[in-house]
Amino acid sequence: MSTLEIRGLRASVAGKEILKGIDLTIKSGEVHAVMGPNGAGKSTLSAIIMGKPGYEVLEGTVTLDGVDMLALATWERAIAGLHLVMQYPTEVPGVRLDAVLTEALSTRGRSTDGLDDALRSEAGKIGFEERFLDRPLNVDLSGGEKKRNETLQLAILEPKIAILDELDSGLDIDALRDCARRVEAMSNDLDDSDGQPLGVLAITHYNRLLEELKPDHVHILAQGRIVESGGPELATQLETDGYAAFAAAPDDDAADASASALGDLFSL
Amino acid sequence: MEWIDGNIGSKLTMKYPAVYLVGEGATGEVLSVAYAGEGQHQDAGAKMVHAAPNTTSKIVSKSISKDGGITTYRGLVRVDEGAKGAKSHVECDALILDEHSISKTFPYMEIGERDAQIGHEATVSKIADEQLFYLMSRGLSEEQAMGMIVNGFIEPITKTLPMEYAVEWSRLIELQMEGSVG
Repeated sequence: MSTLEIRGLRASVAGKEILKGIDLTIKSGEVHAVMGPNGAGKSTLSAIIMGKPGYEVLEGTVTLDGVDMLALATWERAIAGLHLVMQYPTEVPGVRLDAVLTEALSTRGRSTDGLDDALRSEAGKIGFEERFLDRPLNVDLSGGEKKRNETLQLAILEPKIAILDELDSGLDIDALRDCARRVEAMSNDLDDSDGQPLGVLAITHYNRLLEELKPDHVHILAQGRIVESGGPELATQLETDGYAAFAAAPDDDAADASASALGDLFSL
Repeated sequence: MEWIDGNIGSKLTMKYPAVYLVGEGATGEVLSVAYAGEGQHQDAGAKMVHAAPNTTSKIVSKSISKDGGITTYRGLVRVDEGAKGAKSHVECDALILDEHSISKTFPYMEIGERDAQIGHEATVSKIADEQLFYLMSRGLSEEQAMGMIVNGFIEPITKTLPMEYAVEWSRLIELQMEGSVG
């Protein structure tokens, strides 16, 4: 059983405090949804967990099975068992998907025998066209194909904990269903690599992702804090009441930071 | 006539292999790769002289600069009077690996016949932090990630080489980049 533990996490971007104390615990096989309006700090949370340059941790800890993730380089966090499914997967010209996965598995000390077959089988499960498998990463792929590609890599690399940053953005309804169902299955099935099901932290704005990816826990992130935690019913309540019902206690600073964070997100 | 030209290592390299196309219908091709690291300047390219009718030439130049290195493409395509129906195509691609490095392109053309068909394409790209972060988030170290991007960039040239040269060339570039990352 693996555990990702986030304690008292405060973080800033460009000198502005965006996360103001986040506590979350995600275990193997659990699906946690973190939902929040634009500018709440959702993307900052995923960036901080994976160590993206430009984001600064002010206070708090992020550990995976007791190992301090914040002290590790991004690639070491990946080897330790974290995986980030990106909101906007980057195009990398000249670098083939299968070559990256071969390298990534070798670095983890895992066999690459049968990778071709595994890729084909996974591609079939999520409707990713086989002709994309030996193409440069994400180059000339549509938004939906990029997210299918992200889901495919997640399934091949079999991390302990996956962080999904707005998996549903830029996805048509079919791609959304294919990707969400695959992640849901991974959270139920035991991995070949470590014999555990996947733990999931799904960061999302909308409820629609959660129709296929069934969360055990739902957290509402507003103005850099988790303002409410509950079961799946919380997402349904959010659908009817909107985020305004869950706004944090009045806090001028937070409102300012949140507004400027929104500006930062658009300028990034 | 085909040149395959690799430029790595020295402080300053100035090298321009030349092909004189003097027989009717002759063809010439130069494939050139250059890597400039710290304190290095690779000034390389090719000369193609079309001295007979219906001659064709092609220059493909790929350069990589890193740690303040400078790469320059300097090339000449000359079509003499009387060399009717000459065709030439020049492609220069530069990859810049950090903020401090520089790439320059000086394509010279001297065309003495009106019906010559001359093409020039140039691209400059930079490895973006986003690309490195993406590969590193899959579990590749910074060296591995950069190596993959660089090898992908020169692959159009290395894949035309015999296997043992292609492997040697890729290894040489990796060695050049080692130790200077992270």
